[in-house]
Amino acid sequence: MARLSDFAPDYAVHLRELPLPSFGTTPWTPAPALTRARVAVISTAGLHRRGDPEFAGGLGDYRILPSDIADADILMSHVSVNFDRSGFFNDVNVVFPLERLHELAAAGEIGSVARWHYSFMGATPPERLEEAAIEVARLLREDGVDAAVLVPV
Amino acid sequence: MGGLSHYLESAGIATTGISLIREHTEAIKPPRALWVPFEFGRPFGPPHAAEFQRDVLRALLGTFAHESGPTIDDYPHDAPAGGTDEGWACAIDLPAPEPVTDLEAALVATQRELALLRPWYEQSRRTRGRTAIGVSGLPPEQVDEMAAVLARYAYGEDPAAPAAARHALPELIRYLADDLRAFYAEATAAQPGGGYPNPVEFARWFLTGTRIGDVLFRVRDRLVATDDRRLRGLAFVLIPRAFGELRAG
Repeated sequence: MARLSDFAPDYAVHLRELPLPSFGTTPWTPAPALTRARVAVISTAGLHRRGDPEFAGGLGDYRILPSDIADADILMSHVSVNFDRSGFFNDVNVVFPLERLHELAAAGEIGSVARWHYSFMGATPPERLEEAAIEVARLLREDGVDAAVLVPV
Repeated sequence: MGGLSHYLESAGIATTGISLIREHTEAIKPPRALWVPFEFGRPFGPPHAAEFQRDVLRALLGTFAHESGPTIDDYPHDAPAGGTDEGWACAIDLPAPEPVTDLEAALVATQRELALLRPWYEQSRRTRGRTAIGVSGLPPEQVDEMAAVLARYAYGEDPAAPAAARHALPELIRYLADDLRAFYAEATAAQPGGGYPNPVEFARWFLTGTRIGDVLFRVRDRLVATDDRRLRGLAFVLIPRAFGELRAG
Protein backbone atom coordinates (compact mmCIF):
# COMPACT_ATOMS: atom_id res chain seq x y z
CA MET A 1 0.00 0.00 0.00
CA ALA A 2 -0.55 2.24 -1.68
CA ARG A 3 0.44 2.61 -5.23
CA LEU A 4 -2.17 1.58 -7.74
CA SER A 5 -0.12 -1.52 -8.59
CA ASP A 6 -0.59 -2.72 -5.01
CA PHE A 7 -4.33 -3.22 -5.38
CA ALA A 8 -6.38 -6.00 -6.90
CA PRO A 9 -6.73 -5.29 -10.64
CA ASP A 10 -10.43 -4.37 -10.62
CA TYR A 11 -10.04 -2.09 -7.60
CA ALA A 12 -6.97 -0.47 -9.17
CA VAL A 13 -9.06 0.28 -12.27
CA HIS A 14 -11.76 1.80 -10.06
CA LEU A 15 -9.19 4.00 -8.28
CA ARG A 16 -7.46 4.96 -11.53
CA GLU A 17 -10.76 6.07 -13.05
CA LEU A 18 -11.88 8.18 -10.10
CA PRO A 19 -12.41 11.77 -11.19
CA LEU A 20 -9.69 13.94 -9.68
CA PRO A 21 -9.76 17.70 -9.19
CA SER A 22 -7.60 19.73 -11.54
CA PHE A 23 -6.81 23.33 -10.68
CA GLY A 24 -4.15 24.02 -13.28
CA THR A 25 -1.85 25.76 -10.82
CA THR A 26 -0.49 24.98 -7.37
CA PRO A 27 -0.89 27.86 -4.91
CA TRP A 28 1.99 28.44 -2.52
CA THR A 29 2.08 30.16 0.85
CA PRO A 30 5.49 30.28 2.56
CA ALA A 31 5.45 28.15 5.72
CA PRO A 32 6.62 29.50 9.07
CA ALA A 33 9.53 27.95 10.93
CA LEU A 34 8.12 24.90 12.71
CA THR A 35 9.21 26.11 16.13
CA ARG A 36 7.02 29.18 15.64
CA ALA A 37 4.17 27.52 13.71
CA ARG A 38 0.65 27.29 15.07
CA VAL A 39 -0.67 24.06 13.61
CA ALA A 40 -4.19 22.79 12.96
CA VAL A 41 -5.36 19.39 11.76
CA ILE A 42 -7.87 19.20 8.93
CA SER A 43 -9.36 15.73 8.60
CA THR A 44 -11.51 14.24 5.84
CA ALA A 45 -12.36 11.15 7.90
CA GLY A 46 -15.90 12.30 8.68
CA LEU A 47 -15.01 12.90 12.33
CA HIS A 48 -17.27 14.83 14.66
CA ARG A 49 -18.14 15.31 18.28
CA ARG A 50 -20.58 12.90 19.88
CA GLY A 51 -23.94 14.59 19.54
CA ASP A 52 -23.01 16.57 16.41
CA PRO A 53 -25.00 15.77 13.27
CA GLU A 54 -23.52 12.83 11.39
CA PHE A 55 -22.06 13.46 7.94
CA ALA A 56 -24.44 12.57 5.15
CA GLY A 57 -21.88 12.75 2.37
CA GLY A 58 -21.41 15.07 -0.58
CA LEU A 59 -22.63 18.25 1.11
CA GLY A 60 -19.27 19.97 1.67
CA ASP A 61 -20.06 20.76 5.30
CA TYR A 62 -17.61 20.61 8.18
CA ARG A 63 -17.49 19.93 11.90
CA ILE A 64 -15.39 21.58 14.61
CA LEU A 65 -13.06 19.58 16.85
CA PRO A 66 -11.72 21.60 19.80
CA SER A 67 -8.11 21.15 20.82
CA ASP A 68 -9.04 19.80 24.24
CA ILE A 69 -11.57 17.28 22.96
CA ALA A 70 -11.53 13.91 24.72
CA ASP A 71 -11.03 10.83 22.58
CA ALA A 72 -14.29 9.48 23.95
CA ASP A 73 -16.16 12.36 22.33
CA ILE A 74 -14.90 11.71 18.79
CA LEU A 75 -17.04 9.66 16.41
CA MET A 76 -16.64 8.83 12.73
CA SER A 77 -19.54 8.79 10.26
CA HIS A 78 -17.64 8.54 6.97
CA VAL A 79 -19.86 7.21 4.22
CA SER A 80 -17.33 4.75 2.76
CA VAL A 81 -16.52 1.34 4.19
CA ASN A 82 -13.59 0.83 1.83
CA PHE A 83 -11.02 1.62 4.49
CA ASP A 84 -10.12 0.11 7.83
CA ARG A 85 -12.00 1.53 10.80
CA SER A 86 -10.62 -0.85 13.42
CA GLY A 87 -7.50 1.32 13.84
CA PHE A 88 -9.63 4.38 14.67
CA PHE A 89 -11.85 2.32 16.98
CA ASN A 90 -8.76 1.45 18.99
CA ASP A 91 -6.78 4.71 18.79
CA VAL A 92 -8.04 8.06 17.51
CA ASN A 93 -4.48 9.16 16.74
CA VAL A 94 -4.43 6.76 13.79
CA VAL A 95 -6.53 9.30 11.87
CA PHE A 96 -6.52 12.42 14.04
CA PRO A 97 -3.09 12.85 15.65
CA LEU A 98 -4.05 15.54 18.12
CA GLU A 99 -2.31 13.86 21.04
CA ARG A 100 0.89 13.53 18.99
CA LEU A 101 0.63 17.20 17.97
CA HIS A 102 0.32 18.30 21.61
CA GLU A 103 3.40 16.20 22.40
CA LEU A 104 5.43 17.96 19.71
CA ALA A 105 4.25 21.34 21.01
CA ALA A 106 5.22 20.41 24.57
CA ALA A 107 8.66 19.38 23.31
CA GLY A 108 9.07 22.70 21.51
CA GLU A 109 9.18 21.10 18.06
CA ILE A 110 6.23 23.22 16.91
CA GLY A 111 5.11 26.58 18.23
CA SER A 112 1.60 25.75 19.37
CA VAL A 113 -1.52 23.72 18.65
CA ALA A 114 -4.57 25.46 17.20
CA ARG A 115 -7.56 25.93 19.44
CA TRP A 116 -9.88 24.52 16.80
CA HIS A 117 -9.45 21.74 14.24
CA TYR A 118 -11.83 20.84 11.42
CA SER A 119 -13.28 17.75 9.81
CA PHE A 120 -14.88 17.23 6.42
CA MET A 121 -16.33 14.22 4.66
CA GLY A 122 -13.90 12.68 2.20
CA ALA A 123 -14.88 11.86 -1.35
CA THR A 124 -16.73 15.17 -1.66
CA PRO A 125 -16.47 16.96 -5.01
CA PRO A 126 -14.04 19.86 -4.48
CA GLU A 127 -16.40 22.52 -5.83
CA ARG A 128 -18.79 21.66 -2.98
CA LEU A 129 -15.98 22.22 -0.47
CA GLU A 130 -14.95 25.66 -1.67
CA GLU A 131 -17.35 27.81 0.34
CA ALA A 132 -16.71 25.93 3.58
CA ALA A 133 -12.95 25.81 2.97
CA ILE A 134 -12.77 29.59 2.51
CA GLU A 135 -14.73 30.00 5.74
CA VAL A 136 -12.41 27.57 7.56
CA ALA A 137 -9.36 29.47 6.25
CA ARG A 138 -10.79 32.66 7.76
CA LEU A 139 -11.43 30.89 11.09
CA LEU A 140 -7.90 29.44 11.08
CA ARG A 141 -6.40 32.88 10.54
CA GLU A 142 -8.49 34.27 13.42
CA ASP A 143 -7.05 31.48 15.58
CA GLY A 144 -3.54 32.52 14.54
CA VAL A 145 -2.97 29.30 12.59
CA ASP A 146 -0.33 29.53 9.88
CA ALA A 147 0.20 25.83 9.10
CA ALA A 148 -2.38 23.10 8.52
CA VAL A 149 -1.87 19.37 8.14
CA LEU A 150 -4.48 17.70 5.97
CA VAL A 151 -5.25 14.09 6.81
CA PRO A 152 -7.32 11.83 4.57
CA VAL A 153 -8.48 8.39 5.61
CA MET B 1 -7.72 16.53 0.10
CA GLY B 2 -6.68 18.28 -3.12
CA GLY B 3 -9.55 20.74 -3.08
CA LEU B 4 -9.06 21.66 0.56
CA SER B 5 -5.32 22.23 0.19
CA HIS B 6 -5.93 24.38 -2.87
CA TYR B 7 -8.51 26.61 -1.18
CA LEU B 8 -6.66 26.89 2.17
CA GLU B 9 -3.27 27.56 0.59
CA SER B 10 -4.83 30.14 -1.73
CA ALA B 11 -6.28 31.84 1.36
CA GLY B 12 -2.87 32.19 2.98
CA ILE B 13 -2.62 29.07 5.15
CA ALA B 14 0.45 26.93 4.43
CA THR B 15 -0.72 23.34 4.04
CA THR B 16 0.73 19.88 3.84
CA GLY B 17 -1.09 16.60 3.64
CA ILE B 18 -0.85 12.85 3.85
CA SER B 19 -0.96 11.10 0.47
CA LEU B 20 -2.47 7.62 0.51
CA ILE B 21 -2.33 6.98 -3.26
CA ARG B 22 0.80 8.46 -4.77
CA GLU B 23 -0.53 8.56 -8.35
CA HIS B 24 -3.54 10.61 -7.27
CA THR B 25 -1.32 13.13 -5.48
CA GLU B 26 0.99 13.35 -8.51
CA ALA B 27 -2.05 14.22 -10.63
CA ILE B 28 -3.67 16.70 -8.21
CA LYS B 29 -0.37 18.50 -7.36
CA PRO B 30 -1.09 19.91 -3.90
CA PRO B 31 1.63 22.23 -2.56
CA ARG B 32 3.22 19.70 -0.19
CA ALA B 33 2.52 16.05 0.56
CA LEU B 34 3.95 13.07 2.36
CA TRP B 35 3.14 9.73 0.75
CA VAL B 36 2.77 6.91 3.28
CA PRO B 37 2.72 3.17 2.46
CA PHE B 38 -0.07 2.33 4.91
CA GLU B 39 -3.49 0.72 4.77
CA PHE B 40 -6.45 2.94 3.97
CA GLY B 41 -7.92 4.07 7.28
CA ARG B 42 -4.54 4.34 9.01
CA PRO B 43 -2.81 7.48 7.72
CA PHE B 44 -0.54 7.58 10.80
CA GLY B 45 0.06 3.84 10.96
CA PRO B 46 -1.16 1.29 13.49
CA PRO B 47 -3.03 2.01 16.72
CA HIS B 48 -1.15 2.31 19.99
CA ALA B 49 2.17 3.03 18.29
CA ALA B 50 2.85 6.52 19.60
CA GLU B 51 6.52 6.72 18.62
CA PHE B 52 5.77 5.58 15.08
CA GLN B 53 2.87 8.05 14.80
CA ARG B 54 5.12 10.86 16.05
CA ASP B 55 7.69 9.96 13.42
CA VAL B 56 5.07 10.12 10.66
CA LEU B 57 3.86 13.47 11.98
CA ARG B 58 7.43 14.82 12.10
CA ALA B 59 7.97 13.70 8.51
CA LEU B 60 4.71 15.37 7.49
CA LEU B 61 5.63 18.62 9.22
CA GLY B 62 9.09 18.31 7.67
CA THR B 63 7.59 18.96 4.25
CA PHE B 64 7.10 22.58 5.34
CA ALA B 65 10.86 22.98 4.88
CA HIS B 66 10.49 22.97 1.09
CA GLU B 67 10.84 26.40 -0.45
CA SER B 68 8.78 25.69 -3.54
CA GLY B 69 6.28 23.14 -4.75
CA PRO B 70 4.47 21.00 -5.58
CA THR B 71 6.45 18.43 -3.64
CA ILE B 72 5.83 14.84 -2.59
CA ASP B 73 8.08 13.27 0.04
CA ASP B 74 8.00 9.50 0.56
CA TYR B 75 7.76 8.14 4.09
CA PRO B 76 10.50 5.51 4.17
CA HIS B 77 9.09 2.96 6.62
CA ASP B 78 6.31 0.41 6.36
CA ALA B 79 3.86 0.28 9.25
CA PRO B 80 4.76 -2.17 12.01
CA ALA B 81 2.83 -5.40 11.55
CA GLY B 82 -0.49 -5.56 13.34
CA GLY B 83 -2.09 -8.66 14.78
CA THR B 84 -0.06 -11.59 16.02
CA ASP B 85 2.91 -13.32 14.48
CA GLU B 86 0.86 -16.45 13.86
CA GLY B 87 -2.15 -14.64 12.41
CA TRP B 88 -4.96 -13.33 14.55
CA ALA B 89 -7.92 -15.43 15.62
CA CYS B 90 -10.80 -14.36 17.84
CA ALA B 91 -10.14 -15.76 21.30
CA ILE B 92 -13.85 -16.06 21.98
CA ASP B 93 -15.29 -19.36 20.80
CA LEU B 94 -18.11 -18.05 18.64
CA PRO B 95 -20.42 -20.67 17.15
CA ALA B 96 -19.57 -21.40 13.53
CA PRO B 97 -21.67 -19.11 11.33
CA GLU B 98 -23.58 -21.91 9.64
CA PRO B 99 -26.29 -20.84 7.22
CA VAL B 100 -29.42 -19.60 8.93
CA THR B 101 -32.51 -19.37 6.79
CA ASP B 102 -35.17 -17.80 8.97
CA LEU B 103 -35.48 -14.66 11.01
CA GLU B 104 -36.09 -16.25 14.39
CA ALA B 105 -32.95 -18.37 14.12
CA ALA B 106 -30.97 -15.31 12.99
CA LEU B 107 -32.22 -13.27 15.94
CA VAL B 108 -31.23 -16.01 18.40
CA ALA B 109 -27.82 -16.46 16.78
CA THR B 110 -26.95 -12.75 16.69
CA GLN B 111 -28.07 -12.16 20.29
CA ARG B 112 -26.00 -15.14 21.45
CA GLU B 113 -22.98 -13.83 19.57
CA LEU B 114 -23.34 -10.36 21.09
CA ALA B 115 -23.69 -11.90 24.56
CA LEU B 116 -20.44 -13.82 24.10
CA LEU B 117 -18.57 -10.69 23.01
CA ARG B 118 -20.12 -8.23 25.46
CA PRO B 119 -17.80 -8.92 28.45
CA TRP B 120 -14.79 -8.21 26.22
CA TYR B 121 -16.38 -5.10 24.76
CA GLU B 122 -17.04 -3.83 28.29
CA GLN B 123 -13.48 -4.65 29.35
CA SER B 124 -12.11 -2.83 26.30
CA ARG B 125 -14.29 0.19 27.00
CA ARG B 126 -13.12 0.36 30.62
CA THR B 127 -9.48 -0.04 29.64
CA ARG B 128 -9.52 2.58 26.91
CA GLY B 129 -12.05 4.92 28.44
CA ARG B 130 -13.95 5.36 25.22
CA THR B 131 -16.17 3.72 22.65
CA ALA B 132 -16.68 4.66 19.02
CA ILE B 133 -20.31 3.51 19.18
CA GLY B 134 -22.79 6.35 18.81
CA VAL B 135 -23.33 7.39 15.21
CA SER B 136 -26.71 5.63 15.08
CA GLY B 137 -27.85 7.52 18.17
CA LEU B 138 -28.30 4.28 20.09
CA PRO B 139 -26.06 3.69 23.10
CA PRO B 140 -23.81 0.62 23.44
CA GLU B 141 -26.38 -0.89 25.80
CA GLN B 142 -28.68 -1.30 22.80
CA VAL B 143 -26.43 -3.32 20.49
CA ASP B 144 -28.96 -6.16 20.72
CA GLU B 145 -31.61 -3.84 19.30
CA MET B 146 -29.22 -2.61 16.59
CA ALA B 147 -28.59 -6.18 15.45
CA ALA B 148 -32.28 -7.08 15.66
CA VAL B 149 -33.27 -4.17 13.41
CA LEU B 150 -30.72 -5.22 10.81
CA ALA B 151 -31.74 -8.88 11.04
CA ARG B 152 -35.41 -8.02 10.60
CA TYR B 153 -34.60 -5.90 7.58
CA ALA B 154 -32.33 -8.65 6.21
CA TYR B 155 -35.18 -11.16 6.35
CA GLY B 156 -37.72 -8.99 4.60
CA GLU B 157 -39.42 -7.07 7.38
CA ASP B 158 -39.63 -3.29 7.56
CA PRO B 159 -38.89 -2.62 11.22
CA ALA B 160 -39.44 0.73 12.88
CA ALA B 161 -36.38 2.74 13.90
CA PRO B 162 -35.71 2.52 17.66
CA ALA B 163 -36.80 5.59 19.62
CA ALA B 164 -33.22 6.80 20.23
CA ALA B 165 -32.17 6.52 16.58
CA ARG B 166 -30.95 9.73 14.94
CA HIS B 167 -32.09 8.64 11.49
CA ALA B 168 -35.06 6.92 9.90
CA LEU B 169 -34.82 3.62 8.08
CA PRO B 170 -33.40 2.77 5.65
CA GLU B 171 -30.71 5.50 6.12
CA LEU B 172 -30.26 4.24 9.66
CA ILE B 173 -28.90 0.95 8.29
CA ARG B 174 -25.42 2.20 7.58
CA TYR B 175 -25.09 3.87 10.98
CA LEU B 176 -26.24 0.69 12.74
CA ALA B 177 -23.69 -1.26 10.71
CA ASP B 178 -20.97 1.22 11.73
CA ASP B 179 -21.87 0.98 15.40
CA LEU B 180 -21.94 -2.83 15.34
CA ARG B 181 -18.59 -2.86 13.52
CA ALA B 182 -17.21 -0.71 16.36
CA PHE B 183 -18.65 -3.10 18.96
CA TYR B 184 -16.97 -6.11 17.35
CA ALA B 185 -13.65 -4.27 16.79
CA GLU B 186 -13.53 -2.99 20.34
CA ALA B 187 -14.39 -6.44 21.72
CA THR B 188 -11.37 -7.87 19.93
CA ALA B 189 -9.06 -5.25 21.45
CA ALA B 190 -9.23 -6.64 24.99
CA GLN B 191 -9.24 -10.38 24.41
CA PRO B 192 -6.71 -12.77 25.93
CA GLY B 193 -3.52 -13.17 23.97
CA GLY B 194 -2.66 -9.50 23.76
CA GLY B 195 -2.83 -9.22 20.00
CA TYR B 196 -5.45 -7.50 17.93
CA PRO B 197 -6.26 -8.07 14.27
CA ASN B 198 -4.73 -6.17 11.40
CA PRO B 199 -7.27 -4.58 9.02
CA VAL B 200 -7.60 -7.58 6.72
CA GLU B 201 -7.86 -10.05 9.59
CA PHE B 202 -10.55 -7.99 11.26
CA ALA B 203 -12.63 -7.44 8.12
CA ARG B 204 -12.46 -11.10 7.15
CA TRP B 205 -13.46 -12.24 10.64
CA PHE B 206 -16.23 -9.66 11.02
CA LEU B 207 -17.80 -10.40 7.65
CA THR B 208 -17.28 -14.15 7.32
CA GLY B 209 -16.70 -15.41 10.84
CA THR B 210 -19.67 -13.89 12.61
CA ARG B 211 -23.41 -14.10 12.43
CA ILE B 212 -23.72 -10.33 12.13
CA GLY B 213 -21.55 -10.48 9.01
CA ASP B 214 -24.07 -12.82 7.43
CA VAL B 215 -26.85 -10.40 8.38
CA LEU B 216 -24.99 -7.54 6.66
CA PHE B 217 -24.60 -9.56 3.46
CA ARG B 218 -28.34 -10.32 3.54
CA VAL B 219 -29.16 -6.63 4.06
CA ARG B 220 -26.95 -5.77 1.12
CA ASP B 221 -28.64 -8.42 -1.05
CA ARG B 222 -32.06 -6.99 -0.25
CA LEU B 223 -30.93 -3.45 -1.03
CA VAL B 224 -29.31 -4.28 -4.38
CA ALA B 225 -32.42 -6.23 -5.46
CA THR B 226 -34.62 -3.14 -5.38
CA ASP B 227 -35.34 -0.73 -8.22
CA ASP B 228 -34.67 2.20 -5.88
CA ARG B 229 -31.37 3.81 -6.83
CA ARG B 230 -31.01 5.34 -3.39
CA LEU B 231 -31.32 1.94 -1.70
CA ARG B 232 -28.90 0.32 -4.11
CA GLY B 233 -26.40 3.06 -3.28
CA LEU B 234 -26.82 2.28 0.40
CA ALA B 235 -25.82 -1.32 -0.30
CA PHE B 236 -22.33 -0.21 -1.27
CA VAL B 237 -21.60 1.35 2.10
CA LEU B 238 -22.16 -1.88 4.01
CA ILE B 239 -19.57 -4.31 2.65
CA PRO B 240 -16.03 -3.22 1.69
CA ARG B 241 -15.43 -3.62 -2.01
CA ALA B 242 -12.54 -6.04 -1.41
CA PHE B 243 -14.84 -8.38 0.55
CA GLY B 244 -17.96 -8.10 -1.56
CA GLU B 245 -17.87 -11.68 -2.81
CA LEU B 246 -17.15 -13.37 0.49
CA ARG B 247 -19.93 -15.03 2.44
CA ALA B 248 -20.03 -16.86 5.73
CA GLY B 249 -20.79 -20.57 6.00
